[in-house]
Amino acid sequence: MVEITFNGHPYSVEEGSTVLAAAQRVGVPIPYFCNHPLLKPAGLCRMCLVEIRGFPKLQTACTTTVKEGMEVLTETESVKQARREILEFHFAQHPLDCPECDQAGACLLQEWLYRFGFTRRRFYFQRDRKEKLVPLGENLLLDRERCILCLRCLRFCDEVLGHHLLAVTERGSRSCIATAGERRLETLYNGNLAQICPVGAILEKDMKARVRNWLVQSRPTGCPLCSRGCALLVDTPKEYPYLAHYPRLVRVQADSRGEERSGFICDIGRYSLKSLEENRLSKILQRGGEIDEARMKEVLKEKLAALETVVLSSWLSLEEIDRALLLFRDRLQLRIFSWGRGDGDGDTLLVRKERNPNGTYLRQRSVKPLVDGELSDPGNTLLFGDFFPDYPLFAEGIVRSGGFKALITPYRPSLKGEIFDLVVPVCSFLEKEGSYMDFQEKQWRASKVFEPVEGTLREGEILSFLDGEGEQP
Amino acid sequence: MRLGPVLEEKIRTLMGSYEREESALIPALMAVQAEYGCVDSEAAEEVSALFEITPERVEEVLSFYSLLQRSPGGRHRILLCRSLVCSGGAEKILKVLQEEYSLLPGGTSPDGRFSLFLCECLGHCEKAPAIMVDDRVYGPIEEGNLFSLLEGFK
Amino acid sequence: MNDRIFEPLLNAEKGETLEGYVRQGGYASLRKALEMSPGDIVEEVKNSNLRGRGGAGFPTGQKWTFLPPPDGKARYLVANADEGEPGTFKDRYILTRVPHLLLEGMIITAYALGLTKGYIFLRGEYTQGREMVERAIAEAADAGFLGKNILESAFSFDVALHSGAGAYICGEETALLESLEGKRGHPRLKPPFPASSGLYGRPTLINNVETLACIPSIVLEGGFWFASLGSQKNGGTRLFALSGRVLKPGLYELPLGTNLKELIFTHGGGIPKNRRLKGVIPGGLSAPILTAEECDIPLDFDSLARAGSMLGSGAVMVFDEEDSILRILSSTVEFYFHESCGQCTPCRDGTNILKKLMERILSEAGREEDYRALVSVARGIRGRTICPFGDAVSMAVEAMAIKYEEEILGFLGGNHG
Repeated sequence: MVEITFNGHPYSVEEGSTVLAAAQRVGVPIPYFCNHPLLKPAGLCRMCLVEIRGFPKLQTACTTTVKEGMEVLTETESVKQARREILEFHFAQHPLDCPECDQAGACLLQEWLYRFGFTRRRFYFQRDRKEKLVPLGENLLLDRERCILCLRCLRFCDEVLGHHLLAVTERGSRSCIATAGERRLETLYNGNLAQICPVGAILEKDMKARVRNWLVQSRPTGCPLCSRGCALLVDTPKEYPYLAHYPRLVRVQADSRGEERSGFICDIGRYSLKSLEENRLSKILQRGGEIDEARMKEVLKEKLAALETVVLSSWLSLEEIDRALLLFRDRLQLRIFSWGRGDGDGDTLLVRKERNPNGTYLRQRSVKPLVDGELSDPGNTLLFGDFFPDYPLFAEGIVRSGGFKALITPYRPSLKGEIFDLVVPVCSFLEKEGSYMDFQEKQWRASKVFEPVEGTLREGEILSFLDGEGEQP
Repeated sequence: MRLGPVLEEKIRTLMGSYEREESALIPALMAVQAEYGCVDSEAAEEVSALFEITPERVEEVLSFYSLLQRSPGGRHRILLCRSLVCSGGAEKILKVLQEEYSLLPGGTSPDGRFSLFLCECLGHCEKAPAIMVDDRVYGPIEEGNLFSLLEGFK
Repeated sequence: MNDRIFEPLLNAEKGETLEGYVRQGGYASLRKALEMSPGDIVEEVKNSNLRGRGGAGFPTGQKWTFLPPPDGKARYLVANADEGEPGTFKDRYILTRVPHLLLEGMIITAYALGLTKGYIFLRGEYTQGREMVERAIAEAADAGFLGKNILESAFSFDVALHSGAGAYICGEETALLESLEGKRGHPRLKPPFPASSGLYGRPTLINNVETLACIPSIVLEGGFWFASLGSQKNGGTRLFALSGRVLKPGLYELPLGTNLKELIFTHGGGIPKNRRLKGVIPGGLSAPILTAEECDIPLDFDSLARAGSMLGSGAVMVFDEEDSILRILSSTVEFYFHESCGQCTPCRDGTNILKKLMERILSEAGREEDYRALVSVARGIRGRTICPFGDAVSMAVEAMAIKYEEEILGFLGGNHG
């Protein structure tokens, strides 16, 4: 730790951190645009200029490393004037798009202008016109008039993605962010550019004019779509008249607040998480017809004694898996297997081949993965399938077998013919709390983002019930 | 336009003459321009492939430097200095170029002979006003010698 | 001992060839240097009070000491021949008339500082200079002044020419390095300075052409001799590029400390038709303008700095009563607008706003408040940018606007052009 002062007050800050990072830690406000925790400090926007004793000129807080005894002044007249005037320059060049700009309410330019800006404009003139709807990618649009050239997007591509996919073209105030010719960004990380842009210059097409930032609530959880479990924020609309018919999952963003997770997410998590909301099952099905919970319990009680095989899904939480193994493996000594979604292509950044959130834990608990052909006669089987509406192809063995088969899933099965004797609807991943283990054996917490859809039960409930039933040996 | 084997060879030689290949990028683009009068997107893409860099790397350099042009113009390029010492004279020359050659800054003469660009200080201030035609700087330019100078370019 | 370094060389017959150069005594200094210790050479340069001739005027000997000791890996010398400061054309003369002087200066410098490779970054517009320099490099290599074991010493050094492509900002050291590395000319954040992390991240010394061209005579005749030619702390003579409203615009070698009026009226022949002097920019466009009353001043770094201006590149531009300050201001604002690299907000947006304000001032809609805004915006760029370009536009524009306020307000008040 290093001892420095901000405006005369002493603070202990981490050695090696920048003045800006230290200020953010201890709560001293310093405005910035180009700085971002994922990126190397650039010192481009000049918004974070502060006075440091011993330096004749103002220094950028983002590029200055703290030193023992450093005295930083963030509220002197010279600093305030620099902020006001730089903001005034921005304001003179920036289009007055706020009423229709999707970034409103979450825009750094708005925030700093509000907090540190000025009240009287000293000059009015026509702003430079630039293109406003430049396609950058399938779901990405660039508004060059709004761009403040902080270069976060470009630097993200260079430093995080490792490829120079965006360029600054032209010179001076004619500078623009651009790709070469008609090229588009086709990475699995495009969405991060919209999120990392501090103003409304890079935006997602599907969010255009969708919902105001102050009318959504961001709820944190983790991503179950692969074994990395990136930290996410799920945006849900607040109660508001015109939002009544909006889907409850309106946007997914990376949660960059904590330090343990990567701070950015892939487009699979960002844009396919909402598929967890589709095709929900809310009725208990028995061979095509609906039954009620009481009847379901009777059926289960009847079949539990003859249960031979249990297939656990790698989307169950740690706690649910522990409980299930205690009951089915330790106590009842049934055959236990695991299954999940099939592997996909991994990449060198975030995307893991394994597309399930808890496969690692199941392996740690020595649960055998279900392999096709291995299981020729499973007998009466209980399957936890909270990740899909259909059985994976490698479960042919189970599907073709005789015996009672009960499927526990949030999703309506879309199979032709009825394979399962009993289908029990449960809440989805986004509707429950639980712990998960990523591919590095680190645990993370999934938080309940939504209330369970009406009519669904929780896996825990079912386990409890079965547990109670299984008490008698 | 395609680079062609001769130009490609030239560029490879340039790349080899530097300790780091990327240093040859701007000289390579200047070489393409010397051959074709400009560097269009096809050529730019070929250059990016030769250097094994993204086309964005070439685009950002191409658009930054005043001497590099992306589209063809007239057969001869006129750069008219409009910096301080030349600025008074430049106004007069501009007028003549517009009236006599139908040439506006950024444009090409109807007969396809000349393109005109305004530029900043050419470093010939003792011979103000100065202009650069293709590869050479001329000055001081007055109405009298402007015509005889330009007539020499076909 | 002559008290003019450049004059005889610039005017020598065939001075641009190796033969002509050697006939004038060229490369004798290199021979002497190779007999000296590198430390002694640095000492001489320190004693000479030579200050950077490119614009900043930093003491060269001191700048040389910023390089760390050699570590066996590449270290670079770059001759800044980007000469883009409006009004400046001195390096053009050196490059086209006596390129070997630059080469000799570079070789001696490299020897003194253990530099392994040299580049001459030459602005793309100087095509004639390129021919001359390329030929001189070939001649020098043939004669054994470049290459391995120069003049049979243990010292090896090579020089290559690299052309710019039209960007004033590449005259700034770190922007030059970026350009040399094949990128946009965006100045780097400092620290680190090129002395510790320059070309390809290696220690690099960047000196102006004229600065390097002084080295041979400093080594041959001694640092104190060079210092004695000038004024206190401002050693030597320098090349003044005189242009604008004078009868004899051109290049003049004069001792540092020569009075500005002497340059204009004695050497430059005075103002045509005896018109009244209006003002002088004494050191390239980035040097704040001096009014006629301020022109009785010695031309050296310190005197001009004290007067709120700078010696800069030594480009002296003279204006008379026929020149409207509006046109001077407008051309200046236009220049910086065009040449700003665009990296940082105060300069990128500031130069844009200055241009718009200037356009409005020149139009019928121009009012005094636009003038006030112009001054304020110019001031708002200073001290807040990544590189000195922002300070340059700020100081140049502010000086023109403030010192000629009466003329500008008069223009705004009544006669709108």
